[in-house]
Amino acid sequence: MTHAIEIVNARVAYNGKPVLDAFSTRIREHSVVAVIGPSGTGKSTLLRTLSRMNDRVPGFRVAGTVRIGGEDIYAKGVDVCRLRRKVGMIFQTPCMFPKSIFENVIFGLKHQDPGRRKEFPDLAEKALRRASLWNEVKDRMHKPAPNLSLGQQQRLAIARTLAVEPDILLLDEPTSSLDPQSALAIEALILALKKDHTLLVVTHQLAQARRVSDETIFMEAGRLVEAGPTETMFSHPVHPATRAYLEGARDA
Amino acid sequence: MKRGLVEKAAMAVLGIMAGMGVLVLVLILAEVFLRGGGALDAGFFLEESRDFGAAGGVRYQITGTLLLMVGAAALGLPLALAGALFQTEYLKSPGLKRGLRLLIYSLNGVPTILFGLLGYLFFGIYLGAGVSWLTGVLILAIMILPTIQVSVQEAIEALPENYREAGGALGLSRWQEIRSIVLPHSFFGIVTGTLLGLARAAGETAAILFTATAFSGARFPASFGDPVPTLQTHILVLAQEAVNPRAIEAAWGAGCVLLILVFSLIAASLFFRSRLSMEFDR
Repeated sequence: MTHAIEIVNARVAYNGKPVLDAFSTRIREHSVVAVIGPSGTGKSTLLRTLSRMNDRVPGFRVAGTVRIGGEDIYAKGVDVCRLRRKVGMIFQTPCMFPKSIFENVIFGLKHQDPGRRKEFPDLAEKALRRASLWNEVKDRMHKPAPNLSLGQQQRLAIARTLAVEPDILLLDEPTSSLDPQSALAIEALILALKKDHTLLVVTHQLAQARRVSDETIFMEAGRLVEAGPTETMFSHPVHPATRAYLEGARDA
Repeated sequence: MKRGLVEKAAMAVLGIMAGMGVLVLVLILAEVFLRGGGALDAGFFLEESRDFGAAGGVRYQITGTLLLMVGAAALGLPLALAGALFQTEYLKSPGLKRGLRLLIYSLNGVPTILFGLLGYLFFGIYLGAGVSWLTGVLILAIMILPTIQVSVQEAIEALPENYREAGGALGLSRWQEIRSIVLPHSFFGIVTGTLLGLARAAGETAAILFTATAFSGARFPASFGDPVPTLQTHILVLAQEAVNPRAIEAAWGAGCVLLILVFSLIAASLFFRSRLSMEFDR
């Protein structure tokens, strides 16, 4: 069985300083994996490594093997643009382009498939429906997207990513700048998207990790400390560091 | 108590000094418009200069100045844009970036007469363009290149990184990002830079005086090889050689026209600059 994501002994360094070290893990297709751990531990770097978002940052080096759908994404000749359409990324704060809602949804699509222009309205509707946003915006598709609430903007960012049909979605603290209601909407969306996608969610909210994920990865200082089924890890953490983190974060 | 006094004194000194700067500017403007304002009528803009500047207007001086400015901007803008984009979007080495930046800023401070001399040696003599508006356009384009590039580059660098990341995460190529994110978002910065460059070219005299312009015998150029009359040359020659009071007034009038031209360009660039900062406040 091929895994959606397979990382073998990866080492990611920034100006020679390791951010991820001796990192190995495998992630099944159609699962939701939560990535937890203290701040500055390399969780975002892990996500960015999977879609090569750090390529343009000078001084970044990746060693080891990172496979997406069985393909080594750091091999020579890999089409980075194609990779990034296959591995979508959602950031902590949604970044809307100062254009209409419709233009934002088709932003990636427009550059990928300019020939399908006629289908764009249908594809935009489909993506917005899947991001549970269609009913809220269907009457104002041509109004500026930056006027939406932050929670709606985050779902629009997800719709925009879904429109280019990724296999994998990487979400970097997708709810930490949202109100609780909007955060719950995003959580429901994550669970719904599992049917067609593999999702990796970085989160600082342990309750959220517990609600949405099948498996959890606990990281500390650039290393994977413990990984396994979410329920097992939360009820019986094996490693002392995991136990300390789960207890400490619960008290906080 | 003592602190309050110092505070007040500092305010007073700063206020007086600022007031003096404004006063000098106002005096210059008043002088130019008092002496030359009388020459400004419709004929002054529409007729050509006659009788060594004593009769007629400055029609071809205006078209000549505009021709040099627009030509220089048309040539300088693409080069400046390419230079700015290369540095911000493609160049990775921070050392090389710093070096190029230093170079551009220093070019901005080179005396314009040097641009004129070297430009004339290279374009006018070596490439055989002679004393012509083409030589002038080439010299001015190189001269205003750093002005435009610094402004454009600052606008591009002010673009928040998360816009580029959002585009990159959607699988846009570098060029697609430039076309649909970087350029639209720095549009006002590009306009501002171009206007400032134009204003600089409009006010420039030394670099084009002996390389591109002629006082008499030139009208609208028939070919690339012809020199043009300009407002700057007109003012300089009349100021030095004219004796007829009408011609002297015409020189001040030409000064008014040039000032109006430069001021409207700077006003426009300030307007676009404020639009630019609004863009990112949203």
